[in-house]
Amino acid sequence: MSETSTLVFDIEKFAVHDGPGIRTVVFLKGCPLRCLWCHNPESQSFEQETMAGVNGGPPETVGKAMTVEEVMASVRKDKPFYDSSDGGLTISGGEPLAHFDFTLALLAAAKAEGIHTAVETSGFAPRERIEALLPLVDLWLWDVKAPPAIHKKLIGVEAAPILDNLAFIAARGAAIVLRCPLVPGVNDSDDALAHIVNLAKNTPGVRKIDIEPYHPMGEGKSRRLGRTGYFTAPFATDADKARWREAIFGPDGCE
Amino acid sequence: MDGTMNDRIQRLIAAARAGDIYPKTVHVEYDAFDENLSDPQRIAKRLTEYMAAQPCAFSDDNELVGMVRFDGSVEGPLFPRIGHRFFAQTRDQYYCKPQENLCTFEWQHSNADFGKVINVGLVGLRAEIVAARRNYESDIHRLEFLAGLESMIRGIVNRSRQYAAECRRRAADPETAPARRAVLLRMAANCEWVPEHPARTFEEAVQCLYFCFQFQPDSIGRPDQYLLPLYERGLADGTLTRDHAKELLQELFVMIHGWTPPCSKNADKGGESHFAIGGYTLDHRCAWNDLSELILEAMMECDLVRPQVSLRWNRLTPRSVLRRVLDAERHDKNKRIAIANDEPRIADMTGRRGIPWEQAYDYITVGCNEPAFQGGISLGGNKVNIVRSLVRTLDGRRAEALECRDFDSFYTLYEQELHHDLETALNWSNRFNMLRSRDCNVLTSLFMSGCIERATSVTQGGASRALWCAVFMGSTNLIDSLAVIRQFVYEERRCTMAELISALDADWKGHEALREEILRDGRFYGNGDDFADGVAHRFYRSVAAFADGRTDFFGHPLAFGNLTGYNPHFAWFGAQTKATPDGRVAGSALLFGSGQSDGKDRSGVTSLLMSVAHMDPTGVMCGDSIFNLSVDEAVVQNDESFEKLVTLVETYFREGGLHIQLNHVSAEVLRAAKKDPDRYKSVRVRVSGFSAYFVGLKESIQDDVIARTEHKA
Ligand code: SF4
Repeated sequence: MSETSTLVFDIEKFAVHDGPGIRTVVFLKGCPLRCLWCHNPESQSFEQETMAGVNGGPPETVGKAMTVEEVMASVRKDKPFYDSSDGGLTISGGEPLAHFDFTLALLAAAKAEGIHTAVETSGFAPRERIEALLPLVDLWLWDVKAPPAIHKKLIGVEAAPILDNLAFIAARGAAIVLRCPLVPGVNDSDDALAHIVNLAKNTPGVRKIDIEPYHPMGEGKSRRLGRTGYFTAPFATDADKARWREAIFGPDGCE
Repeated sequence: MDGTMNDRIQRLIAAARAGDIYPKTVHVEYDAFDENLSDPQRIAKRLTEYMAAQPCAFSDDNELVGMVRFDGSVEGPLFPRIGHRFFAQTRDQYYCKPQENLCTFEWQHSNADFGKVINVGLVGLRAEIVAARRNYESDIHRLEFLAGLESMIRGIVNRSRQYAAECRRRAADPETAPARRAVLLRMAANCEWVPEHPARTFEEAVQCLYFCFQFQPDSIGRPDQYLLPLYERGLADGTLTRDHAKELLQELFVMIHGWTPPCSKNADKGGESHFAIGGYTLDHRCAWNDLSELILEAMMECDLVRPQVSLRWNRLTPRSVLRRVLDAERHDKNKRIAIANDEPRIADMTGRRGIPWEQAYDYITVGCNEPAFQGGISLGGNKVNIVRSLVRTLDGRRAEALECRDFDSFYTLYEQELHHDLETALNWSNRFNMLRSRDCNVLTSLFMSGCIERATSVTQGGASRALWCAVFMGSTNLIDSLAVIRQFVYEERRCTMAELISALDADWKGHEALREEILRDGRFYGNGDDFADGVAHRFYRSVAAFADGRTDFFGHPLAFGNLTGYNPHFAWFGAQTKATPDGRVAGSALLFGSGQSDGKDRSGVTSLLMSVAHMDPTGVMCGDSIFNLSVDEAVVQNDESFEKLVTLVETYFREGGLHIQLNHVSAEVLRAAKKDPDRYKSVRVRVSGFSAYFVGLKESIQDDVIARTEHKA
């Protein structure tokens, strides 16, 4: 199992926004979706890619094949930090569930060493995979990208199977954080915000809602990858953020 | 800023910042006949006359008095050695002048034992002088020294009486408002009692400290410990309120800030007057108390750059205390706060350096975070270009270096050159210290531990609590260079030693590809990688092997560190040092501190912290070692991620890290990074839900980050 390998495009240490405590986030390369605003366009393809350098610097190769044991060697080093902060490992992407064998093996290895695990996912995956991972995932960071009515248009797939998967893990007692990337004028209508609130209310096990304001980070990277026709929108304004917070957390805007 | 701070302190702060509290000096003509007196007697007599002639300067806002400045006409305070002739000679010859591109002379901190004079008063010191005299009945030099000390006590008491008289004079002035008159009379009574007698109240204790600080204006040590009994007693018997205690501390801090005049080139720095809070008590308990908290509160309300303070963290320090201090730090725009770890330092003192717990538990932090003692002097202080030892190996012993077939044989060669350079630096240190030890000091010697008992000036080896430490410039360059040699020449065989040496001789010209390969693939220190970190361990073991059994010429065990102080020694040495295997080009600055830079730390902050915490398995670096950590301002300011930062620092300490100070990236740095991306490669910022190297972001995002950063400040 520890020889299972996949393409990893980054390992971030002292990650403080992807689950509780001090975490290491392992980013796997490859995602079946094509979100309009994807901030990590280099994470979409399952192949190694070359990104043009910044400021005339040398080009960067994105994606390195790593085995579970190689990743664990890096993750394991921060055990003292996880222990003192109730942190741990977060697997992100791309889409971890699209790297099923690797994700399963990495989670098992982390659990075997007493490391808390989180998976950040769009939830778009066959049910059996989700079921297989359930006992190994301490916390699901579950994306809520758009309300069902416009889901297909923005993400390329229907919301229904994703919502079914969410209901499935919730019914089995999973701990869940809803992660909501919000793009002004695109997926932040009153209806869209109401969808988030209702989902949180009706899904047992939701601990927290994270609002992730849009930033045009993906644009530069798309350009460096030689892609054309990429999506762009302005930064979320303070007024946007205030409106989102009020709609989701109530008038005092606290989580 | 807390809105509760009173107007009086606010006015004092304004005056201190404007330089108005800085007293003028009055020139004094000394009697030529004095030259016939022994050094100690002459110095004490002249200091007494000098002080008596100085104005009793204080404003209507002061409730504490005592400021006096020395003009250099006679041996004044030991730090910064005002009026010390031989010291001045040494300084003129060697200060900021690298010798052999190996080491330079530096100032030496020294700290009065203020707690002792508060507790026993000058009468107590006089009793010690009387007792010491019996041990030296036939030693005329020592008896003269003791006589000088005793006469100095009279001079100091005389000075406090002058202040008392001035307070009474102003109280008697019919113009004085009745409320102020009562205060002036209390001030007069305080000055009539301390520092001659042991302080009986918190107010007297702070007055004593304020007054005696003039005679050794360096660290105030551990005020949260030595002021605690009178603080608690005052609160218990109702003679003191917490607010009044805070006000007294603030007035003290204003004076300390103002002691460095605004015209000084160090006016914007805070290294003199660094002190400690927290730590251990003698009976192994956590020493943090309500007075530690009050001191921090008092400081944070004052918009001053001095004094600076370190939390002494240890295994018993609750996380809430660490959080409290880091919280103060993140809100402190004057950046006065650092944190040091008791555990490795005390372990090294009580272990390798043979200092008993009864002394070690009470260590303090001074200057740019140098461990020291109250009543102790720091010896050494030299800055050492540690990269020179490698240059000498590759150049001076080139034929042998080219013959080495494996890294072990190369390292053996290198170690000989390392020990050679450490020996040379120690000799220089002894030479500097011998030169400056010809001075005599009777003023500060009174407040130093051991000088009375030994009847010897602090300048001449009188201080019993001394620490010797020299500091390295370029340790990270050196470790990385050794790691590159190991990796590229001996293990991966990507180049030969001959190729590497010609690249260095040519300052990489014509060898750019090799340099790029090294910078790209080098396994550098600071990445939690056993390869380079193992080289670091080996290097520090060699340093420890040198220190083992050696002492300086006064007999103190050796320790080392890596700070640079106020001066850019790292740049001066770098300017004279050729290219090094870590990819550094000739003439560029060396690195200092325990960290990494130039983008060589690529594995994240936790890996860097692990490398730094474990860098030295021997304790020999428990001297003046520092570690600067850059943290994204957004992580620091967001409460949720701030909490994670607290545990990050705590874990680093539990793993053995010596010291940490945080650098939240400022807009200024970010703007500079935008202009000159190569120099700021390792600056990281958080954009939203992810972090990135700032220079890798597109322009509009950079601008946004800068704007947000500016918004925070
Ligand atoms: S799911 Fe995430 S990685 Fe995949 S396309 Fe959407 S935003 Fe990008």
